[in-house]
Amino acid sequence: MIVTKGLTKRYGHLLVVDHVDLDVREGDRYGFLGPNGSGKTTVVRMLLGLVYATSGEITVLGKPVPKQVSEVLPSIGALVEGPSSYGHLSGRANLALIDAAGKSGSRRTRRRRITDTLDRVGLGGIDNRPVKRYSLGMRQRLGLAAALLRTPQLLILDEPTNGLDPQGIREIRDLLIELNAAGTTVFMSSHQLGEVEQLCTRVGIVNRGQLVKQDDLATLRALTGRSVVRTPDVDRALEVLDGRVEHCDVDRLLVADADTSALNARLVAAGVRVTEIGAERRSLEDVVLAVTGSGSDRVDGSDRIGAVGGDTQ
Amino acid sequence: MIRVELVKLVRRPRSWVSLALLCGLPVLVAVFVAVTHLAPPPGQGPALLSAVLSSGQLYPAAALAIVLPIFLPVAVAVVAGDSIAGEAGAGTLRYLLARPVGRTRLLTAKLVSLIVYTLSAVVLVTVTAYVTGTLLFGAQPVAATPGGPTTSNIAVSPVATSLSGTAMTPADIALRTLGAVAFIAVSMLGVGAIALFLSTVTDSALAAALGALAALITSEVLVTLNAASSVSPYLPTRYWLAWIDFFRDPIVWRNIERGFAVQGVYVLVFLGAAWAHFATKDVTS
Repeated sequence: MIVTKGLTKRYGHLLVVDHVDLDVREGDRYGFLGPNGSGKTTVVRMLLGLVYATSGEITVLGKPVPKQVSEVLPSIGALVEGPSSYGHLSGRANLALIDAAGKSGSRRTRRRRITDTLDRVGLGGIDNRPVKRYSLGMRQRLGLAAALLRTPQLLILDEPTNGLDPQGIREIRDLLIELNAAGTTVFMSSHQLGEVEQLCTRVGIVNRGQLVKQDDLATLRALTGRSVVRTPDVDRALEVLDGRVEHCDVDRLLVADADTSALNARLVAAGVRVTEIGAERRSLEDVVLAVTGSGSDRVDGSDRIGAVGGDTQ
Repeated sequence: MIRVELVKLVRRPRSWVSLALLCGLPVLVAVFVAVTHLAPPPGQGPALLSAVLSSGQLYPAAALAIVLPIFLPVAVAVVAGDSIAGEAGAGTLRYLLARPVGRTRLLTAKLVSLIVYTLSAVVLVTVTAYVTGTLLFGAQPVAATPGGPTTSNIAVSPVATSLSGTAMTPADIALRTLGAVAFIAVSMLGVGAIALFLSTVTDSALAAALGALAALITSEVLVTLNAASSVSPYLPTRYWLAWIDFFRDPIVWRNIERGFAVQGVYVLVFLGAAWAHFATKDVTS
């Protein structure tokens, strides 16, 4: 679906994207992760032909971008860096305008498609108020609606759940899973690890412009070969497991042993009460933090000036 | 896409407010002149205004002279400056391009909508001025000619005269006004092309509009400067007032032709630059 080879973008001396080799397969729910300012958005913009690469190749839906981007884009629904609309017009009018733009959708079915799409994103009962009076979440939904208008084969979404409440995030997640099940490939960038963990099947992690990891989520979240044991009888357990406990945190023990059932049997046999036992699995957060530094929005300095006002007393 | 741009133009309140203001100023001037009967003496104040007391039919030309120096270029520069930069600033440019709308097509559609706006502005000013003029200054030249006892002692000349002093028929005035409308519309397109180019350079609609106006003001300053006479034939505002020559008898074509030529070159050069820049630009807004 999306393949890039050595994709590089330079703004003057600043290297924003550095030899990225993306590989998004058909049917993937691909999570594109990275700290703020790591080059995610620039990659997304290059995929859509908005920004031109300094070097490297992009193939989307089997066609080279940006050379044949106009043939590719009709099959793509995109949400880039937040939704935008004409604030003085209603949501419906906005969708009608965007639908009529470019290789326009059929005029006869436009009204129906707009209604259907609004239903899908949970704006079915929207009135005629102008978009500037919408809440952040409503705008986000409207942006998604615009991306879904032409039932795309590929969805490229940048932070799709930004500004939504937990309920809304769940709705959108369900919607994306449903679309994916119906054959839509989803490529979404995010820095919300939890969201990616719950939604995506494959993950690419970008840091300082480089793709530092790309794999199936299941592989990334591999077992660590250790077990986690919770017990009220910590001292006794330490005795029984003599030397194999790597870390002890109040009632939580980290044991260097992957066989939880054998471990459990041994502890219970020795009279240790076990509250909880399970194999340790790496969280996505561990994986990401291991391969990335802090985001470019953090600027460390030696002399800090305190917050202005309020803290003087 | 052109249709979409026209819909946007029509549904935007700003378009209507600016047109209303453009038409309102000449009406205001007409009311003052009609109430006081104090037209500026010939050669002072807006061109042709001194002649309107004799015939309301000349008022459209006077109205164009009133809005031409500032109002009209400001309105056109704002609309043109907003065309690409406005979309960029609102964040809708990326969605249009990802739709996909080809960059050349988008620019063409913006240009068409700009031409439509400019033409409607000039034509609307002309039409409202004609209505105001004939209502307030009445003087249909033909209506004044029958030698009734009440009309015989009117002081002002009952027949509209050209700047050269010869009489003009209403059809003649209409034709000359049409020529002036075309000339002014093309001049405004020159302004529009500059603003449109700047609009592809910056993401701020305000900066693009002000940039175009700054170019005009620079040009106005240089035109009046004897030291700059070597460049003055190529300045965008040099022949702006040449349309007044349409109201001379016979029409003096020399400056009108040059004006058309200069504006044509400005339109071509800046549209070309706008296209070249926009087609290869990274859209990061």
